[in-house]
Amino acid sequence: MFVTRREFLRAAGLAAGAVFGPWSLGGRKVHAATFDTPKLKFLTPSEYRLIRKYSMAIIPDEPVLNGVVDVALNLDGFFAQNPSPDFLVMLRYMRLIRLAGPAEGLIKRVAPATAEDINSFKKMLCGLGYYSDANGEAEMDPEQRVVWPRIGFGGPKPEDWRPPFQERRLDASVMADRIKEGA
Amino acid sequence: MIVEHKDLALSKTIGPVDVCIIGSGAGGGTMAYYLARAGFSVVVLEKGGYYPPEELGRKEVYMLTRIEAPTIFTPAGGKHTRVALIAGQCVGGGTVASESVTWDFPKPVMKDWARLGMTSYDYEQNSRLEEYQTELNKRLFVKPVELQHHNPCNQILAIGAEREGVHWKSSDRPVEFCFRCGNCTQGCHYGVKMDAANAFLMPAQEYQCDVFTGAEAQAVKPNFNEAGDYPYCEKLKAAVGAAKDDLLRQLANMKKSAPAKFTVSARVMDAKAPTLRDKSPDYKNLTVHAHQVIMAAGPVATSRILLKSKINPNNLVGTRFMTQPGASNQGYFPDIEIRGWDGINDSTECDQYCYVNRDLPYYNPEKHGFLLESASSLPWGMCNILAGVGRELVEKMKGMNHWSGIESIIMSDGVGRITEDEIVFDITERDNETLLFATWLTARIFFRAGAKKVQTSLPGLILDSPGRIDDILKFRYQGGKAKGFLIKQANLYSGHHFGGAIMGASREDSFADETGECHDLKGLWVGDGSAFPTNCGVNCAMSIMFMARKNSDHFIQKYGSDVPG
Repeated sequence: MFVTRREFLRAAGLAAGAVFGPWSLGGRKVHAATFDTPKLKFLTPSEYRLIRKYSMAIIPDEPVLNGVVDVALNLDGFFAQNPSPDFLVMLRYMRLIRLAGPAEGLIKRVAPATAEDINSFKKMLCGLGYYSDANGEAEMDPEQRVVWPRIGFGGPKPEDWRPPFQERRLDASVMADRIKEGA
Repeated sequence: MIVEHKDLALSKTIGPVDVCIIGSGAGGGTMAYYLARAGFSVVVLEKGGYYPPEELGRKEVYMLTRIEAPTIFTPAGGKHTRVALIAGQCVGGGTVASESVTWDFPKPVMKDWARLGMTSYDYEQNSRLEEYQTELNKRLFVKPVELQHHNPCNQILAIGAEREGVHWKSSDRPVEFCFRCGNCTQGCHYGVKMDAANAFLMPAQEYQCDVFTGAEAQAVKPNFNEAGDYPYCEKLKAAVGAAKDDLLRQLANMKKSAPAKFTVSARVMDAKAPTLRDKSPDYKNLTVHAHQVIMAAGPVATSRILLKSKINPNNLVGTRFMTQPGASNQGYFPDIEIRGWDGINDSTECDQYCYVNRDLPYYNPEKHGFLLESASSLPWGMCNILAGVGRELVEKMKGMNHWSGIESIIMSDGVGRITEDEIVFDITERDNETLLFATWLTARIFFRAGAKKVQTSLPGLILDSPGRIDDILKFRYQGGKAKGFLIKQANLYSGHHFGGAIMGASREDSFADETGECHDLKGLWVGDGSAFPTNCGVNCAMSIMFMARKNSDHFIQKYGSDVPG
């Protein structure tokens, strides 16, 4: 049976609603710290816990696994500080993430575009919460940075930056023409 | 003057002013400058915030969420296509966030427009067109990037293209001295990129042009009709004697009580304030009475404001929406440190198959219609571009400095529609063929430069040897079944959008005439990509500025005598 994306989303929304109860996007305030969650400015404790759990699976990199970088807390700070983009819309995919684990195979088969949405949401968590400036790397001294050195990113140029006369030149003579080689 | 939320009392009414411009990007910014300089009183409403150079650049996502519209998160969708729409939302619009590759408004497109009945675009007859282009290029310091300023990512396109025997060139960019910091898409931290804010809006303030930021136009209300408006123009043509006098009297009476022909209502918020989860932003009302209104908020917002305002002659608003979808391909070079983020992001391009070359002898309609641009990204972008999640992505990100990017941008034949709550767009079967050929050529360029593998935008297709390049062509459309890029999982995006309120020769099939003024409602203008009746086939900021420059002249010719003094 072919299920359209719209039908699937409707069904998934209803199912998530039924399983997890009313999940209001509005009307929530700053949440005080609890025994397992820090003080949150934007996310709810439940969202925080879920993102934290998923971030370990989605970003199995040392600083995340050993807790040096808290992706969920980064996202909380980022969402709370940033205007305009509809983070609330993005967070709606949290419902699908909850469903995605057990139903991943089925979702891929019946609604591939939704599977792609879930994938994109996971990447959004990685990009915003870990690799981007949300971890505060841009404000840190280069030697204090945790994430960017792991990927070889040098960060923004310092205020006194002046460009070199010439960019680094590649030596074409040592770059094999693989099409020609294969011909 | 830049006017922000904090500068306003609870609500404010201004005017009557000569011109209210909705949107401050390539079109709105350009028209604001030329009209203010000509002596018109100009007010610009910009939904986004104002970011001076010291606030721009540096932070990738922090700036992206401030200077770009959220349409990037809610893609346009059709039956089998999804395209993420990238549009600016700040003072200067999309030009602030763009990589700023610049193309002259293409002459073949001018020719097309002249053929559509817009004869003022016939460059063989209208010498002013050449002058506009020269003037804009001079004003924006447009020049090609010098060879020694291409970073390794850009050099890879050049090396591969040269070996493949396809033409490449240095991109033109609007900057006098570029610091090559690599953060162009976050706005220019050094204030040297000649975006619409630097080139037009800041100088426009010298002529008393006010730019209201965080000001989201809600509706444009015409307060009365004039003799040139439809259907009065037709009625007046048919009427004679006393009947004609009656009509003219009616029109004059309507005009008496209104402060100006148009009232634009907007709500103003603090565009830099954080999103509040538990309450809506603090809006203040702004009312602008204006003799003329110029729509320049980008095709999506322009169409939506017109639709909300119930200004939709012949149900044309929102129709003929066009984009130039792009797909990103990555080559992996484990032995070369590329560091694509270090230096100018996009400074070489392969233009051989560009649509605007269609007059050249080697033109092949089945293959032409795309541009290849070298393109790399910062960590958030790379995280999105590189395939996979989990361990696979972590490993790829650790090798981020060894990936080089080339994006293919096609001149799509697809025509979509903008409504108040959705954007419908599908690429065509021909577009799919073009994208597949562009991807095939890109893969060859990467392997020519020595790539060990190539990641395409086709879901799951990573080529580990040149012998697999022809696998790309297996994705061709086959008998009614969606294939290749004709699926929603293909990662398409576009920063070039057109249509929705197009110009044309007649009121039956276009919103505005060739000067940009609405056929049916005089005094209402279109000054941005919405007015484009066809796709321009190249990076469009300069094309929009060109049209806006030309429309400004028409405006001044028509209404210049209204300027006091």
